[in-house]
Amino acid sequence: MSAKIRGSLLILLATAIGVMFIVPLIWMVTISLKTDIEAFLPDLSFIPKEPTMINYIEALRGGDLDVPIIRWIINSLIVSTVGTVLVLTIDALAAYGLARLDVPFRKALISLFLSTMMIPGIVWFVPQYILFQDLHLIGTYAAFFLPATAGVFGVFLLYQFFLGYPAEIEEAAYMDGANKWQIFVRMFLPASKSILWTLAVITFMGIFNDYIWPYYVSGGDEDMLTLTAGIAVMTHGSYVNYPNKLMALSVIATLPILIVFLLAQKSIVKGIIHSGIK
Amino acid sequence: MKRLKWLHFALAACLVLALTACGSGKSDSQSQTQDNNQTGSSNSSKPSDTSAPKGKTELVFWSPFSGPDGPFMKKIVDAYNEQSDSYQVKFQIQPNGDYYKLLDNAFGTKKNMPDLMIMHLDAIPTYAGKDLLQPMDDLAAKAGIKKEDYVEAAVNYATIDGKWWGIPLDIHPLIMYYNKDLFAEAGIEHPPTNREEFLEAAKKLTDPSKGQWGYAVPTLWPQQFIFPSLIYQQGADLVDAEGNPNLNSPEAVDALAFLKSLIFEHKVSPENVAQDGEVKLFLQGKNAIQFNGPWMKDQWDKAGINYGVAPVPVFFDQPGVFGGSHTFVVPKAQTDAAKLEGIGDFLKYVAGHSLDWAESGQAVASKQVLASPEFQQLTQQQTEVAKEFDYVHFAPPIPDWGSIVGELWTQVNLTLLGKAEPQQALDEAQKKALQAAEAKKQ
Amino acid sequence: MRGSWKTKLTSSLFVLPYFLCFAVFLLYPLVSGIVLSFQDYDMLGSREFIGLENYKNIFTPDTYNHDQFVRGLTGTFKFVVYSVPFLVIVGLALALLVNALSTRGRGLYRTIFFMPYAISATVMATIWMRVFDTDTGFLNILLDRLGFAGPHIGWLNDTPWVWIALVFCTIWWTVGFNMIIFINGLNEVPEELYEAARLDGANGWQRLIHITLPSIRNISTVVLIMTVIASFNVFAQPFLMTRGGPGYETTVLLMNIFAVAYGQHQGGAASAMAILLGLIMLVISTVIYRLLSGRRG
Repeated sequence: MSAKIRGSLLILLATAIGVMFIVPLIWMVTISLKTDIEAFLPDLSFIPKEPTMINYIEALRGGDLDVPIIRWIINSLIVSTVGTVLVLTIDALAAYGLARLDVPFRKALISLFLSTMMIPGIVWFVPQYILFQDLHLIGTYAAFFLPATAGVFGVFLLYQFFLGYPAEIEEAAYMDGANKWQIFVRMFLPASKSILWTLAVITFMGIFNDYIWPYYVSGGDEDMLTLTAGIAVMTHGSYVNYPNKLMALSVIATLPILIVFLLAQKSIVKGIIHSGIK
Repeated sequence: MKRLKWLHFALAACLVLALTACGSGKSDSQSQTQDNNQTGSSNSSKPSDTSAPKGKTELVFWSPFSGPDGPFMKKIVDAYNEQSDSYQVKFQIQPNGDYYKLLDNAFGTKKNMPDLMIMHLDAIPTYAGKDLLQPMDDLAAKAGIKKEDYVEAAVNYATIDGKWWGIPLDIHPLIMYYNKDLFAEAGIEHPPTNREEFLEAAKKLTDPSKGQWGYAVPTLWPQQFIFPSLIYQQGADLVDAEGNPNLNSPEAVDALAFLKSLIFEHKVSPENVAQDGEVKLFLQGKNAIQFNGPWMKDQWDKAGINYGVAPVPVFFDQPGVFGGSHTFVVPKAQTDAAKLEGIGDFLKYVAGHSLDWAESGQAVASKQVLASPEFQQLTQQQTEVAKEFDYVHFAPPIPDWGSIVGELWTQVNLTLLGKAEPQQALDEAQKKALQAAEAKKQ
Repeated sequence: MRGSWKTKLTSSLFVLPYFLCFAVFLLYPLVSGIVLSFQDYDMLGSREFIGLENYKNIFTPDTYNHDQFVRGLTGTFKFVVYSVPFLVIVGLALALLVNALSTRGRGLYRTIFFMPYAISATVMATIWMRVFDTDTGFLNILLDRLGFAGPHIGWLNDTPWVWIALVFCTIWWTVGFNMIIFINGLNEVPEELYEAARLDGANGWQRLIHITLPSIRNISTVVLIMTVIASFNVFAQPFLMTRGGPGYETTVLLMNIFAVAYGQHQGGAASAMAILLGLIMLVISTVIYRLLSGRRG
């Protein structure tokens, strides 16, 4: 089968699957453009008969409750960005140490980290809240992203990744007189650009989308909420749901993540890794 | 060099971290009370004072109104704050589904407690039983609030051991909605008032070929309101005289059998109705009758349904409906005299001015508002709902009752899905209810 | 490498920042949570040490906690078994597909497959409930139009359809995560290996089995373990969409843990259940890890 035919078939397959993935999202957007009356109708027809931006306008103005949604968006962006940078930094350092260096009790540490990943969050959720109370961190930006720094996933992911790098090149570098730090910064980091960006996106999304924790630690200050937590107040109604308003809020909440993902796209490339570790 | 840029970035991040740990960036006094310098800064009663304007005492008020009803309460609060020189109510809405988790957390950690909060009437036995609430008798007396000002049912329920634990805001019982257009089409002149009329109407309104149903029976929520109503209509209850669960009484079996018959025998309902399926059908004009709570009003309005409201038909021997009620309660830990006075002041205001709340579709519990001409003139719903106040029942006043009857809803669900028989299902529910009650005793 | 204490110290410094965050923000609360499982805590402030009582209850048949635990575990277990194979295989398949596309198409499809992961649980549930609702749902209406006779399928309240619905929307919602990690893994496989294989006459399938799969062993471990953990922790899909129904068929353990904590007001018992769940996950994950763990370098 020629490359061209194969290529076309693949695109066909990808499109068929892609349609199933994206149609519900397109649906989400079209519902968000519907008036209240249209929103409840059975919608085999996608296109709203009277499209309207009212749901977005209302949402950005704070809805009926005059919520500071712009402030929330800014909060979310700050908290997610700072948290992501922090997590990436300490996770990369730790993963490198565990995978390539002679850290004492290396195996025990790895086992410890991995085992704690298994325990469901509900076990430590309330104690974690109490801890932040005791540290007087309630109502601060730090409270929103500090829990993420304890996350094991990033370390686990990078650890597995770093395990796979060839030892020979590393040894050669040592013989050339490089020290651990230089090898880390000049060899491993550039070679891991792709996975680091993936971890960045995932971490960003994790902090951004969390809507339960920020509610607990905002300390009752309405301005100190993140977007998703604040939206939860507008969407988790007393037994009712307004799909169009919910979708409009959801689109607003998803756009930043989409943008971050698209930015990261450029770095998730199929690279020639081994020559890159020079 | 690229590497250094990375480092600089990381350093900058650490700086931001250090800065943000010191405060939320707000310049007013609120943030200062949250920073590291003050001990006990997380106790809500002290810091709140300083952020209220003009030296007013601030009252933190929690509510679960995270739906379309939120703005109505906000109107009341804003109006109160305007006219009050001494008090400022800080109104906070929590997500409805997580409200009690947040509340429990506040009670459990004894931090971040509100001064005043909404609690569902049937949750009061649980929290009063754990000695977490404050009796309202003194507070009410000082503010000139009397029990007679409110609908008896709610006040009586909230009076345990001679103490009055909660001042009611509204009562929300099960109510019947019907599609006027479909009724007119089928030539039905008025909404049904008893079982015969109901079955007759529902059958006329059912036409499977058009996908139209007389009454789509929900298999999950809000059966919690519907099923008990049918039991009350037989003069029975979900508990016996001693307060033990009585879920498989003959009346309960009859109630469940009746509901099941609507689906499988009279066929006025489709099978396998999923969560909110009957609501979706009603919104699309494919379901003629709906039993639900007054909170649905806003959704019907927005969808442009030509709906009517009427009391729930009497399917058995006597009128009876299940209802809930939003009640104001004060945590026991609240001892500040000035604040208690403020709370009383606010609640007195609400008793006289809760018309805004009524506009959200709820029927208020304040007799003063109920009797007012403005209330009478509101759309039909509120007055119809208020009619049911004479025979509304609340959940049994057993602590953690919700948990004890958890299995009941599972079994009702199975029965209405055609996967169980009423008697066995309720026997199983009873068994598990006893089990849950037993577990609490340990 | 010298094994002196000096190098060990500098090596430790790499791990130290993370370890501190871990110890303070995770380990310490976790230990508190474990201690809680040995207490009778009513979530409202009063607690009392009761030793192994909570655990004993869970293992005593016919008690409330036991039944809640067993029912929930059964539901969760079913979900894990039904969902994990699909989530991993589809994730890998999508990653292979995306990488096989020309560079122009790659970015677009990668985004399309990943985007559902970004939306919240509430929105996901709202969308899919509109699809799966028995009488007003998109799927059943489509089936009607296609001439499918018979009563509407209860996708959200009839076994086995309910599992199909839950697994399907979980795949839609979360497979992007697996795919993206697999893509990173696939990108690490040196092109030279494929070249050599092609020269040796290996076809696509053989290249997949003998080169790709072994090369992504490390990354597959991550995906598999994370997927197992995620599936064991499932909560939103059954809670929002099926309410654990029909009956308690799709009631998962996390739902019951919350019910015990906040419904029965027994925080200690809930904690004990969660820890038991964690131990089960630990055993399974350890087995997976041992089977798959790659070597260094």
